[in-house]
Amino acid sequence: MPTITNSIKQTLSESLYLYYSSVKNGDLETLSTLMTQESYYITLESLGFKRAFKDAEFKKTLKNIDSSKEDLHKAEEAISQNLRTNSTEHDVNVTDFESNGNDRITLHYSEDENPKKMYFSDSSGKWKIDYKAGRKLN
Amino acid sequence: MSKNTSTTERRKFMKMLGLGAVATASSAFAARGGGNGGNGGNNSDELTEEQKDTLFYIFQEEKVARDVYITLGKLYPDESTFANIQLSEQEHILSAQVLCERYLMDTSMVNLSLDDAYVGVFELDSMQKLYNSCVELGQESLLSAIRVGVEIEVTDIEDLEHASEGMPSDVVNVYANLKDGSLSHLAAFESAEKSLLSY
Repeated sequence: MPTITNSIKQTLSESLYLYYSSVKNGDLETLSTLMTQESYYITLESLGFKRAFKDAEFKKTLKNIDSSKEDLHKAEEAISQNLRTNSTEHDVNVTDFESNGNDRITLHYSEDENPKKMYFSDSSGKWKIDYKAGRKLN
Repeated sequence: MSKNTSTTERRKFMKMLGLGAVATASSAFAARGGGNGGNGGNNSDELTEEQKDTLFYIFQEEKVARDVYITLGKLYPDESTFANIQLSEQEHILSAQVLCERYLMDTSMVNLSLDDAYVGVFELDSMQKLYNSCVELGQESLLSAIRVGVEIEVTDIEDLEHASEGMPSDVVNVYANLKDGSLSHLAAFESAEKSLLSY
């Protein structure tokens, strides 16, 4: 497995902490820069799920985020507002790094003492959160 | 498969929940298979790396639906629909796991234990948030819990209808079985909803 340098570890750690602060503050503009587009949309869907369950109009908007920039913006505004008013602080600590093969790493960490992990992939020299990068490459 | 196609293949569970922008199998996953298209699979025994990633993600996401049903079943023990369906959901997970392992994917890092300490516990934050949202909605009332089940199954069916494109025949067959199961689950939840509303 490829070596994970200290520089990469620092980059991934900073991304993780920024992920949590962005979610807490409803800063989706920053959040979107930390993730692959696909993972960002998955995150928006998770964060908007409860509202979509009760609000048919918002559900339609959320369904269109990857085909309509207008709907993406509407969804982001609503989700950001919700995050700002319902923010939760977590105690997050990086514990380990695990290579999943070339250009993909699992970052292990604790969230309020519960074991968690975040997958990252390297695309064009930039490491991003990538939910699809959890599979180990042979 | 292009990156755009990959995007449309995401989120089996979210899709399953009717939230995905694309009809895929992600959350309940039926990953839109990718590759060169075609309906109902192909005869090659190969998956692209992106198809493997999607399949593995779907496998992980299957646990969300199972654990939602387990938790809601405990919350509403007199409503047998959850208990009946969670057994089937466990079979879905195992089907997806077998499929992953057939394509030499290591599934050992995904904890599928039915122990209370692990049900509803997800290492990926997005899946934890989704599970939490489903359970919070289900806690509001039995009717809301049943409707969470309806949403999950409706989306799953929609996604699975598109999931097989470009996939090898063994994947197509597994997805067909999953869809049959979801149709049965949907009928059960709709029956339970109708029964509740008739009171």
